[in-house]
Amino acid sequence: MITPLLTFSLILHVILGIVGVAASYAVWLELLKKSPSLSFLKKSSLISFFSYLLSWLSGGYYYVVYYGDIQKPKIIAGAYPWAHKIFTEAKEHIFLFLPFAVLALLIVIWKGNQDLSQNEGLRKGAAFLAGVITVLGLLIALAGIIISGAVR
Amino acid sequence: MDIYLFLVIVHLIGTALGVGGATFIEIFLTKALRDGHVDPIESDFLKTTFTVVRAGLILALLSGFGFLLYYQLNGQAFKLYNPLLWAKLTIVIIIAANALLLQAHKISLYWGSAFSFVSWYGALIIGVFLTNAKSYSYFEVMLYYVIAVIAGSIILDLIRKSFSAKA
Repeated sequence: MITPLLTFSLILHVILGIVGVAASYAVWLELLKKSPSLSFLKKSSLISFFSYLLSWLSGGYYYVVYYGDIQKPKIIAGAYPWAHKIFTEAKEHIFLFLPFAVLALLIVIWKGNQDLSQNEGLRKGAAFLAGVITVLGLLIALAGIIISGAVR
Repeated sequence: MDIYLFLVIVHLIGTALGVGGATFIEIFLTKALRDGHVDPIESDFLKTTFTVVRAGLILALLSGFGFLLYYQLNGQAFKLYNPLLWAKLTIVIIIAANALLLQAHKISLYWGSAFSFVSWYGALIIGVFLTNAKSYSYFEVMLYYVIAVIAGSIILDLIRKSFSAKA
């Protein structure tokens, strides 16, 4: 039986994950401009970092307390065992380094400051990192839908 | 108010802002390009409308994932494997990717506006099909979508040309 705390942690994991993806997407979009708004970048990168971090922690709690013992055996015994064997396995490993990648982006934006508008190489590098984070975050979100759909 | 009704209302508001915004972007763009260039007032209108579309996308996205959570927590997880849902997710990703390509000037206005306009209406129509439990395969929906984008690009271009000729 799923407890209210577990339900809350799942909701937090999903919603903050989406907010994290949306915020890193906003950073990516802004960094594609030749003169990005530093204030917008700072706010968006901060939201992105804390969203991914809290989604990571709440997802981890859900995984350890509930998913591993209750849902994983159901998926393995069900019609879609690949949902765990491929998608959960991939998701849990990729998700491990995502908050650190976002932390790196946060540091570049907060420390890089004025350099981002003047140094094109730095701006393009940061845009690439924001793009990688967004695409990985999106793939993790889609994997989450596949895994959730396999629990029947 | 129960949570499902709340999600429906937020999702409808997000979709209305997105579809309405995408429509007004086309109208403003057609009017702005009549004389061959976008002046500061027209540019300001367009920027405001882009913000409205982005707000709509965020609302629709958050409430959309709210629906997925609702299904998972209420024993309706089978709905997450509905091909229509995956077609809708694909189109939402195309909307986001198209915005990036437009920002980076990696896509022409001809295709960029067609993708934006048709994708928003496509997501709306698929949403109606999902609500009414219509059954289509993923590839069937995506084929119709590709045809709609090509037809949309031609129609939007014809409208723009006809307005430019009148100016």
